[in-house]
Amino acid sequence: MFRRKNKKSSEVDIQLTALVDVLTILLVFFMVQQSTGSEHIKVKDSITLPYAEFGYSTPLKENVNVIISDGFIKVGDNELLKLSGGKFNTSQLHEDDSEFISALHDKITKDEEWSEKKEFQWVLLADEKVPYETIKKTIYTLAISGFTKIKLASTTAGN
Amino acid sequence: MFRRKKKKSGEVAIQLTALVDALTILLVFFMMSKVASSNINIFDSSVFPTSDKEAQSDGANESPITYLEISNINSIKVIVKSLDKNVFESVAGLDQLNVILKNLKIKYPSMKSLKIESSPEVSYKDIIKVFDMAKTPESLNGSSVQDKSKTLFEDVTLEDIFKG
Repeated sequence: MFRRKNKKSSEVDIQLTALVDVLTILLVFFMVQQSTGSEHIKVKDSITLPYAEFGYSTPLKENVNVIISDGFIKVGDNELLKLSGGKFNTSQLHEDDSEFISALHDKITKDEEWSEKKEFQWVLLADEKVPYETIKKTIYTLAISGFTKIKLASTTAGN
Repeated sequence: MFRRKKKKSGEVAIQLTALVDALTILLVFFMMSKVASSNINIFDSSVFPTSDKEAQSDGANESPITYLEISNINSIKVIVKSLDKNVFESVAGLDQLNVILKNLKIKYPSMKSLKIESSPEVSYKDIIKVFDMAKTPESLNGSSVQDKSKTLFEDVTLEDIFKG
């Protein structure tokens, strides 16, 4: 009924055209995932973002990342302030308003790199152990300084 | 010196092996970049406290509002106010909060606002957990099927940012 073809053991036919088709489909799939998938922000700075199941991802192509760790605050790649145990030093705060971080306000409003980004979304990427006090003071200072589009970031298992 | 090979105009030679190599390298690159980058969820944190009228859209001005006062993860005061009267009040831990919020939403389906106040020492992790609970998708008709387009609370506000 069936006739087997004799093949020499050393000869293997690779269907290159089919292979190219498969690779192309996979490539397109990963490229589309890369562009339309959830928000990708590389967290290089030894912070552990808290986990959240829900939340949502927004296409934030133009955003400013504020990284708050145990020892510093970075805006973009620039370390602006040192923190001690995730908290601000008294010297960094305003004399009459202890919620207002004068040092942060001065740096982000005087530097053109940041002062012109009031319409941008400012994403807070804070270490999970950072106290709410620090988050609150940072949001308060950003808002008073005119940066009101503030988001809180967490990590997720992947969408 | 050089002799050009004659090619027929209709014949185009594609170097399939080189093409496979290029595609494989690109594929590996995209797969690696997918693994290397973190998936980030974003929570909207309304900075400026909205008035109750603005927060409760659709003209349902009398809709209740839920207030959370987080002292620590074992003591979260849950208050529901409607027309300036407390209609619900309870104290719960973080592990019971999700059930309470879901039950409140069933009881007050028009409720859309959640306002959070927290003590200074509460960690960012716990604040995010509360946001996560507030943004849990609603169940469809009480079943286990979730409607991801609708969350328990539309407006989640850090109410104490400007309170000092």
